[in-house]
Amino acid sequence: MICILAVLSSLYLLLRPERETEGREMWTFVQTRAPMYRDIVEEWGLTGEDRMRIELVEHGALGRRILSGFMAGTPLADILEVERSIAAPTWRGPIEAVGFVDLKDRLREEGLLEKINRPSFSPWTNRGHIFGLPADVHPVLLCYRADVFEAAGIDVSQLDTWEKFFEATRGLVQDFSGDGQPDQYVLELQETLGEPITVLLLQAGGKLFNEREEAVLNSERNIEILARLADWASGEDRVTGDLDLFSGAGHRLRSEGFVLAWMVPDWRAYHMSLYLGGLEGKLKLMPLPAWEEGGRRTSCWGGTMLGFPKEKENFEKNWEFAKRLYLSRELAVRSWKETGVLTPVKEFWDDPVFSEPNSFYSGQATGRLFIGQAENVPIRSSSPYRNLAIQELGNAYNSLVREARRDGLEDRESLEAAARKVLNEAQTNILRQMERNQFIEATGTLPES
Amino acid sequence: MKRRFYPYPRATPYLFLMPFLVVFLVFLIYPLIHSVVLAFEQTFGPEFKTFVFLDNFIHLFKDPLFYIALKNTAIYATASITLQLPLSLGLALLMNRPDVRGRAFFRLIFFSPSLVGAVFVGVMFAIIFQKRTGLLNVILHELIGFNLDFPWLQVYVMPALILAALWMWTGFNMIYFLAALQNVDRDLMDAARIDGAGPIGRFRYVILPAIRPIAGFVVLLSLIGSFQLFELPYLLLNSSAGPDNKGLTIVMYLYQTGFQTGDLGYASAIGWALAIILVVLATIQRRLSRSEEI
Repeated sequence: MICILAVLSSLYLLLRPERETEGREMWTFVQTRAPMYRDIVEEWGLTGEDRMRIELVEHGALGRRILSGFMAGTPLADILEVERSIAAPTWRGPIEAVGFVDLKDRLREEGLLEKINRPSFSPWTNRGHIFGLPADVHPVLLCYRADVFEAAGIDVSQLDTWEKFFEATRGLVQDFSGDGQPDQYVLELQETLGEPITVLLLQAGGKLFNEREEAVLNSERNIEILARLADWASGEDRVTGDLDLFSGAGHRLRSEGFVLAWMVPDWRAYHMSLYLGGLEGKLKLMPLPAWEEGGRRTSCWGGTMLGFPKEKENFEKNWEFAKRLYLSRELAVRSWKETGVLTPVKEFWDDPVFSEPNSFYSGQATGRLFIGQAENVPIRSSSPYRNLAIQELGNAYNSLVREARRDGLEDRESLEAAARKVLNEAQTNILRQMERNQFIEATGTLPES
Repeated sequence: MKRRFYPYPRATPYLFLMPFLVVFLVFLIYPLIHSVVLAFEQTFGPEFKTFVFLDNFIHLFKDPLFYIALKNTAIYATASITLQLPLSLGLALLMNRPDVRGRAFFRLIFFSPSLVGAVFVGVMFAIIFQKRTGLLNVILHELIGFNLDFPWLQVYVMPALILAALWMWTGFNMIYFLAALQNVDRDLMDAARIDGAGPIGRFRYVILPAIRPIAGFVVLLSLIGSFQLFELPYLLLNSSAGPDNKGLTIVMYLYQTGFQTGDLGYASAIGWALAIILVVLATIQRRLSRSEEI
């Protein structure tokens, strides 16, 4: 039996059709983008060496393949479409060891630094070099249950600061079942994930790393913001509800009205239309309420780039392909329609597609809303320790919220004192990792004991 | 001296061994040796490396995250041995009784969780422990008005992990004990019974000594398996170590350091620390087993 299986499997391996290897290869991790790219590239009718095969690679696998490629020389595609959490560890070494081609001079010479929304370059800019062509802007808006707020007589769109927002909506936190636990909160905010906390921190002008890529987790602004977030999540005036970001359970709770508002970058606004079909016509988008009067009304969440491995020949051809794809109006339009992602190429923002009413969001021209905030998205860090910092921030927030609930911390001073303590711990933890790095000098300041 | 006659060339056995040896050398011995070298270096690819001598190990001894991982892993391993194995043995004793009806069916039922794999178990228990929509909270809420929003996977990470592992591995270990119990000498059991030994006496003086070698083997297997814990917390906690790293295990920390941060030198040091811990524990376990045998 074993022999028969061995013979059959060997025959299968010998006779199976060979995988196409003609031309070059591009890897992407985005499920919705891969077929779109294939369609567009197919229409171009490229053949022979010019042909580009688009391969979909799972996010985690792509990260491991890239690290292996850069560190051990294992094969990589000619063009790599990568997300921030994948790219960050690739700049942990000396600058000459970064596996991506530095595009800075080329971007400047070809006028792309002006053509593309400036903040979109920040996650790919490390130690003065730019290692990627940005794919997106990802401004963040507030998605809210217009039907519920309107029924309560609240015009949320006029509430331009978080303070006003919660003052007006706090009464909607309700315990329908009478079990002593609210069944409806105003805002969704995860208590264990660093990413949503980072979004709010960036909006408020807080930072994880400064311009010199030094860790500044325990800055005064971060302490102040974290304390305010903990205040939202604790005490009798609690307004934030914690639910899963991506799972079916999370979507179900959103559909059932467990939370009435949540932050959405462009990609997530699109996801909502896919997963919350029952809420069609009940939701609306608006700029995020600011932290202070006249403050920033948006933030940024996520980020993807096209990078080019240094080891690959034909960089010129790859670069021309990338520009043709990423800087095309066709991709800008299809990307918006099919994935909900706003192009970073500013000249396409006047396209009528962005003014089309979106029936899911009560007929709003959601493209215009995102474009209205696109140039205000905050600058983000490209530190190789960014993933770790976000994890530390999530842990710090979680500890703070538990402490606030356990000890009944409600006044600003005690919340800030507790926030300082957890952020000092986070800063110490991240510095411990950063200081080991023999290849990068920038670190940060240890908190005073 | 008379020369021995070989009906085949003398190199023939080595030729047959060659495929295994090549794979063994390339995929086990070479990486093992290379990981020793890596543990004394800080690297970023093959061209950029710095010899740091014992720095990786010194950092390891000062690294609170490593101690958290070690503590979590040790708690899990202890629970595996002190909860899982007695339960497995209890189930095996029950399933070994001839008067239990449908034994074959129950054996399959108890064994089946281990067939589905850690990925399935991780995903399933993540759903069970969900806040508000999870099965556990919903049932407790219906029965005793328990808080629907109680975050099991934030507050009780390790108990949740232990419970999931218990569900998965108890039946698996039961099979080992069952095999051992079926080899207990029937005559000896009958003799003990005739001599007036009760169930506890028979278990203490007949069954336990008979199954001791298998029990020792299961303890060792559980210990090694527990210290290699990775998939279950990784999936249960949504690809993270959970709040305050409550679900961080040594292998998870190794994975994060080596394959997410790319710090292969430090990851190698963690790997060697784990290997040393396992060797020490296995040696202690062997010594204890032997002393009991004597």
